Amino acid sequence: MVEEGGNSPITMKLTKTPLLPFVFAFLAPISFAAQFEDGDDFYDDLEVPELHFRVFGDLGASYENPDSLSNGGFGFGSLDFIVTGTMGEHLLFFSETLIEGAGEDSIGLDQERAWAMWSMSDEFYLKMGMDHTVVSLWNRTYHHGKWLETTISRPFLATFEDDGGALPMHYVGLETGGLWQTTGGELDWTAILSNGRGPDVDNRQRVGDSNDSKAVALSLAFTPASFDALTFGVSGHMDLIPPDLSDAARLGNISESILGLFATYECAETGAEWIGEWSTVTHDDAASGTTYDHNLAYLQVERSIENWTPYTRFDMKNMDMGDPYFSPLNQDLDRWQQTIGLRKEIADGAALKFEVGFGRGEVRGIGGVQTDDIITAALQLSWTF
Amino acid sequence: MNPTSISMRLLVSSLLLLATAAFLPKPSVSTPVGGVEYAVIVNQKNNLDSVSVDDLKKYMKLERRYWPDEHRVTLFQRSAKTDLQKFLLDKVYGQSEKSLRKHFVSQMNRGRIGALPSVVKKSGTVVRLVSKKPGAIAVVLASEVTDQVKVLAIDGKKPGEEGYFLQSLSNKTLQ
Repeated sequence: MVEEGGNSPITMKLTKTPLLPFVFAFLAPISFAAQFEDGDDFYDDLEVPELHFRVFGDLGASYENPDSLSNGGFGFGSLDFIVTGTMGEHLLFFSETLIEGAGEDSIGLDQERAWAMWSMSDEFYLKMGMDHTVVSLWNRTYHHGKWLETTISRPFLATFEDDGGALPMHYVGLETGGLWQTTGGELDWTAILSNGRGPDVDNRQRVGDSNDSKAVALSLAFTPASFDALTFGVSGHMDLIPPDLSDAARLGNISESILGLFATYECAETGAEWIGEWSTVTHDDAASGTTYDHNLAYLQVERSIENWTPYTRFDMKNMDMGDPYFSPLNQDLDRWQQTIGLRKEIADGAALKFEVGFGRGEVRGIGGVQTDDIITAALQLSWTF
Repeated sequence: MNPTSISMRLLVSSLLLLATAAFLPKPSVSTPVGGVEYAVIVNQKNNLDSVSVDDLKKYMKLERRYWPDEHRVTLFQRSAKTDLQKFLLDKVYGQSEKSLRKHFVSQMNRGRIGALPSVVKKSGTVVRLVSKKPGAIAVVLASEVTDQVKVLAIDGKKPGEEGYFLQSLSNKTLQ
């Protein structure tokens, strides 16, 4: 008998419907109850597609001072529906649909990821579709799974575009990569050719591209064989951002290049984990002939002791003010913040987190830009099943 | 933004990080109870005969997802309540069951695996499933191995040989 909630494979005929994620969510409990008797020949036919589900959810409360950033309050966080389908041993289909709060009283539905991947071996895969970019390790490690993130908030460097982030977190295009074994360790490489960013920061160009130029990205991560708790690497991203003809300050192309460095240390024996990233973004604005340089970085440390995980993170973004691509949504403003938090595993697959943050940041108001103290606090219940 | 202030913050974070890693006590690790040998079994069609300890850990964590013959690795686990799984958590995974489960959820969320490993209740079923699925891998008591499956040597050693990796020290017989 194959058993246990959430771990059991369930097989279905794949159908095509826009309501698929909701159908899957409705049917999810079936997978937990699915049981296969000892006499079953379930694995005899490898060509039968397998369908699997996972749901992440979160809700909580947050507070930010000054109020110009946001008002404090309770809120529905998100429900994240992941569906995977395997066909044979080399084809994997992946879908991630997110329902999340927007503003004070709106609930938005967003298709975050949807791709098909063909893997020949560990060394090589080819993927086509919509996925998260490699400009941030955080972005590719946690995606939208709040329960997987130790913290409540994402670092400035990995903030999603629709939450005020400056870096491109999503792409639509082709990806290839693999894991190469070398005598010195493992090299995890990824290369992406995709639609670039749209005329404004939150335009992900999911169904088309407003120019012929394509974005290219590359990421290399190395894990030494002699010290496999450590992984470090570099990423690069180049794009030509098209003009925004509705904005008088954005009448020319912007050439964007992003260089990133990252490192992570995970020690399973002690429960200690560090993750740090630094990204530098350069924008060459053809219309004004001006170059803008931006730097974002964070360093997070945590240590799990039984069911408790205290953590702290230093987070900063040092931006060149006036970048016409970032300034409409105030993404050209500086900020730093120290966050301290505590996470408690309250059940297998559920966590309660509380964190406070203090720092300073630039705020654009009627009188111009001024620097204020910033205090944040947040409580979150996150889960997965 | 004052660069000196930023540097100081980074320095403080680094010191906190070091303190975290260096001074906090190690979490308690459950002591495996055993006295028996466990065997790593794979499908008869698998062309691998031996793995290193490091490679075994990667296959068991699904960090390596394909065998050299290009079949996808399918892991069958036993319940966390079994002594076998407790032994593997200590000897192979080096982490708690919760931590391991989080690892597999993360792998699925990253699209690296299509599903979490199945948990199988009976060892006889494990052997049968491994015999039917070309890319399957599982660990069972060495005494439960049948000729339907292949036993992988670990660093060239099979169960019964001195210095075999999946060997516990006491003589208590477990299921």
